[in-house]
Amino acid sequence: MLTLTPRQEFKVPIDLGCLIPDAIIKKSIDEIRSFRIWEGNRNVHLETLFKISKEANTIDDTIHFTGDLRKIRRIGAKMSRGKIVIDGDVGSRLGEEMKGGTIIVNGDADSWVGSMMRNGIIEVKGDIGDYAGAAYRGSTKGMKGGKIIVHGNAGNEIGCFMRGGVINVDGNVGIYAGIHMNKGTIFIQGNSEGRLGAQMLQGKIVVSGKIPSILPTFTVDNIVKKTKISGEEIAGPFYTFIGDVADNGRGKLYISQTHNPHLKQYEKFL
Amino acid sequence: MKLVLKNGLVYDPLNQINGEKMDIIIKDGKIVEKTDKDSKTIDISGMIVMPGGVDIHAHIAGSEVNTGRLLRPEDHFKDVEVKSNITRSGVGRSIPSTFTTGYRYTRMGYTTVMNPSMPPLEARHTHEELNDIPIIDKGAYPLLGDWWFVLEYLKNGLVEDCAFHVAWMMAATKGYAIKLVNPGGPESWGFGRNVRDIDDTVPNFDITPREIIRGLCKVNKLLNLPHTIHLHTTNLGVPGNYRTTLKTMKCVEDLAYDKKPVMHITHVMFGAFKGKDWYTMSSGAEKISKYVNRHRHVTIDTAQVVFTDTTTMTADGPFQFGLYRLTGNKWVNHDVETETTGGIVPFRYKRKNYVHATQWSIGLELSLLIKSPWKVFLTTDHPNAAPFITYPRIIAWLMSKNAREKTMKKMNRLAVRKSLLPSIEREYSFYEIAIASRAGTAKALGLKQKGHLGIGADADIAVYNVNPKQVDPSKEYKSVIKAFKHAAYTIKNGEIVSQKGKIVKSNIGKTYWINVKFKSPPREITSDLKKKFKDYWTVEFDNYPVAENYLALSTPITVEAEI
Amino acid sequence: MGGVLDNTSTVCHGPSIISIHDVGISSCTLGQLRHRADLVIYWGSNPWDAHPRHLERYTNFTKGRFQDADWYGYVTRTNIHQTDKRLSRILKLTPGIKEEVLPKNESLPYKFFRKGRKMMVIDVRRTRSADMADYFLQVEPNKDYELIEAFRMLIKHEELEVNEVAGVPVEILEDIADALINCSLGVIFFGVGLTMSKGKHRNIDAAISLVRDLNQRTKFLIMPMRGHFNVTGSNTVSTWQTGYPFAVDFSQGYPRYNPGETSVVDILRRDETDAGLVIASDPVSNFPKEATSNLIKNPLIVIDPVETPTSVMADVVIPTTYVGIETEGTAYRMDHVPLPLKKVVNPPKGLPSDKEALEKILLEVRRMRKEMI
Repeated sequence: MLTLTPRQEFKVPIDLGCLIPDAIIKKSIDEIRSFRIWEGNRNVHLETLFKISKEANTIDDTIHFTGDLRKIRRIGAKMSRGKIVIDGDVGSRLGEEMKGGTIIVNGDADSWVGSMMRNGIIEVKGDIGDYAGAAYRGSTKGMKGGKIIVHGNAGNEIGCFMRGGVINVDGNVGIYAGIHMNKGTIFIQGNSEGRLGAQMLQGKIVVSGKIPSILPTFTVDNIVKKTKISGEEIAGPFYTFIGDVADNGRGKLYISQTHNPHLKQYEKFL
Repeated sequence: MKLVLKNGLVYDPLNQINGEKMDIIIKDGKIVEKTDKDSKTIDISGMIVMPGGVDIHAHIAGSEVNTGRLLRPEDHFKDVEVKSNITRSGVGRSIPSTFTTGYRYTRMGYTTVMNPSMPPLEARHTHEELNDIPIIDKGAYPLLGDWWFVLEYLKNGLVEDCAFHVAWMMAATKGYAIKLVNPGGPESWGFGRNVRDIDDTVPNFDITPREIIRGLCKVNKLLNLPHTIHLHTTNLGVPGNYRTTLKTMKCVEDLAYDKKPVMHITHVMFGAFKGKDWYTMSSGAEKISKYVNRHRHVTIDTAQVVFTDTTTMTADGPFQFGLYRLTGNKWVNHDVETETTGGIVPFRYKRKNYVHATQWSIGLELSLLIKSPWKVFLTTDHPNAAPFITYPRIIAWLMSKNAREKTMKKMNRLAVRKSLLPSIEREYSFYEIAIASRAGTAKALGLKQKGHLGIGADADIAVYNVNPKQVDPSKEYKSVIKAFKHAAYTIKNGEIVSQKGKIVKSNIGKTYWINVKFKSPPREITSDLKKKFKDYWTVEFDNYPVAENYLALSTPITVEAEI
Repeated sequence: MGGVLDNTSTVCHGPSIISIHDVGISSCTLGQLRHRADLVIYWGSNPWDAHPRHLERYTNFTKGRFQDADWYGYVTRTNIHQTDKRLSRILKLTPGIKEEVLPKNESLPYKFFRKGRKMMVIDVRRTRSADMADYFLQVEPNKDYELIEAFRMLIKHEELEVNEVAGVPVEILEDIADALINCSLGVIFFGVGLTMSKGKHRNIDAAISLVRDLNQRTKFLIMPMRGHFNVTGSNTVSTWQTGYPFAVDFSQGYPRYNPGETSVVDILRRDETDAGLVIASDPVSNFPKEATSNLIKNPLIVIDPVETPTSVMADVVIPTTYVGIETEGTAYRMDHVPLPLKKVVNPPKGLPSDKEALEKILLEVRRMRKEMI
């Protein structure tokens, strides 16, 4: 196991995209110390910024971060194996284009968690920012597989242009969860701020909490008692909506009936 | 700078030199006869020497290209150009930023590139961008096929008046040739319509595309412009449109003179579809090749498809809208008042798609079935069929049947079965490649200093590290790709600018434009123009022309008109 | 230097640009609208006050090749409006007469189903432009997205399952949708009212999608109402040189772009800079307080011909000439048409232009870094 602790508090963003389990395997500690990374506009050795230690006789592909990591971006980018454990808050683009392995954050994460990821698991114990599982600007290729688990709250536009995989938020989410979504599943146990599934084409969004309103481009479909997310049963009852009709979408929203009495007006269409 | 390239194998088709071992002597940016004592000598034995590449049609600058860049951050972010002490940073792929465009062309040994669509109103923008493209020489064709003045004069049969105005426009926009894009189509697109044939009437103007094409062809002759009219045909990208393309070629047959070409039809691949719909679509290349082989009045370029992700952009607004409806991708439309329109749609050509594979095949069929490479040039209509960085691969397909067969193995089966390619044995020689990519295009453009290595020519030279005596391009096409990807030396204006893919010097390229001199004292052409100016445009007359000091290195070519 | 370069679109039409990345845009130059547009919609913008010459030069009050000017309608409407005001004043003064309460959103006037120029304003409050318009649609604040999406449904002839959207009854929306389809060329001008209300770039995303869908039925265009002098120009130049329109980060030796990460307000709020160079703009009066205080606590250089709150806060101020008055230059109009700017008077002696000042700085930087370009 490789352990990294920042030597000081950082001011400028640090791009740590190169330090992933795939890269450290079979590397000696000296080689790892001389990795080149970007601190703002300076290209420095990894060692100048972090205290690095390596436990012998443990599995090689685990990286452990501790300390204040809010300025550190792209941790675990493109990783395909192993495990990264982070004790503390972490900066943006965590697990970008991740292909496999596990990232566990015991703290908060900034925006773009798991953007464009293809596989693997990201688990965040605290809150996350916007654009979890999203695509890069202009691209329609968002998260394709894997799982993002958030125990706290999430920001706006999670699952933007998502193409597969699961996002599971225990807390509340902002607006536009699942915008432009094309396949995949988002499960929100808390409340949504609205505009759920805007311009979505396919996929499934489940909200167990409250929602202020449903977009006018969704048509009510049914009331169901329960639904399933990756084999697990979620108790309802739920209103189901289909949309976004403006984009000829066939996505499905499952909205808790008990928490949203104001949606009763839709029942006359059933 | 004085330079001698020693022992290279020279391919200079305009001077009928086919692979001879020769020395090229350079002095002050020109090719000269005698060596000076203090010349620097470079031994390039075993390498081939060609004139610098001349691209006749590549969208590299201007408002529409720039909107394409704006539209596609996802196209840029994985392909970047890192700054060095000499070069500036940038981004790449299908619509590279300006500096990157210059560097990447230079690395491939290209030294002159023509930007084929410039909305006259936004000419200033195009030239500002061209100024920021380093090293290569440039020129731009203003879009004139839908300019209200052209439509009105030609409708009334006033060809000479039209010529005076076109000449004014060439000087005002610092343009190089007359470009027509789906004549009448962009005007109809103003109200969301299109013309479907060259004999359809343009709404509100009572004129047909045929009349516009013929009219501007006559204008081109009256003004003695170095290039012919540069035409993007009607009905582009519609199955069955090869008939329209043939009709378009036929419609100026009687205007030909001196056995010279009077029309250049660009990206013919998009206009060579047979069939009724996308299911029955097939190649119309055979018919078009037959026609081109029999006639001298037309030159074409192919727009070779390469299977990759790219961005389509043309001034043909209705066509781009059709493409949006077909693909559902993001779509940009940009109408320009009284002049033209434009559209952009990202596009991915897929091997396994029947239509895309057929398009690939059409491009190569055209290149191979037309016998004379002086009539058919190599382009990808960058970035419409593929980005220009794919030229080396296309050269390999042209030079090697093996390379074609290898690609066909991975292609859509039905497309391969219907394609003529398996039956075509022809393979280009280096000599023919030199014609299709430099000598022929320079000749068609009327650039007398370019495309050859004779005494007095511009010292724009590409040296490729491939020995035709040892390498059989048919079998070892991979070494051909490698050689053409990064020229061993690119020499621009007598100076080495690129060496084995590394830019070693970045200088400013020229911008060519046409300055027409009239025999008769020019009529008061601006009176009518000025009178209508306020009605037609939303800019002032004085603000319209691009002043010469806007061009980084202005190079006017003066031509004498017949009138 | 490896710095970050941003321009003022980051605080005005940045969201419009971000949405163009996702859906594209169907736009044009302004003359096209002068000649052809017969349905002009101003959404969250107030041209009468913010772009005072816009209406008379480019849209409803100008005569084009295919469309007539609508001065007459404007004069009539102004008269009616004045009379209304006077009447209501009299009514207020007359005891015993109760003022008639008008419904908030009236139905669409018959004019919208005939040929000729029409003007519609959609906004959260009645602006001066709304008084000029043939029809004014008042929406609830922060409900623009729902309204646009409802229009997208209606032009597909889909039924809505709600009675009203954004405070507007569905019957009125259906009439407007018909008017949208039946025009010969329509245009939506949107302002900061749409880009900066709830949802930001997604509002524009939806508006552009609406226009795109409308093009299946008729010709429709959309254009942002941009301000900030030559902000379009700086977007344009940034795009052709780096590939990205604003918020470009050069720190790793090549351009990178991700608004939110590389945009100036976010960088300042996270306090990641150690120096700032401001050219002809005024962040101190436009940025959030946090960002401003982080900007001014570090060394700050301002290049500007005028005194602004930012230049007052700066450590170094380099005064320059006015482009278009004392120096020549080029500016891009909001529809991307480049216009030359002339010099009319001589600048004070010794005063450099912005370009000269920056070139001298660049030369010095390269000398220090021993680079040669």
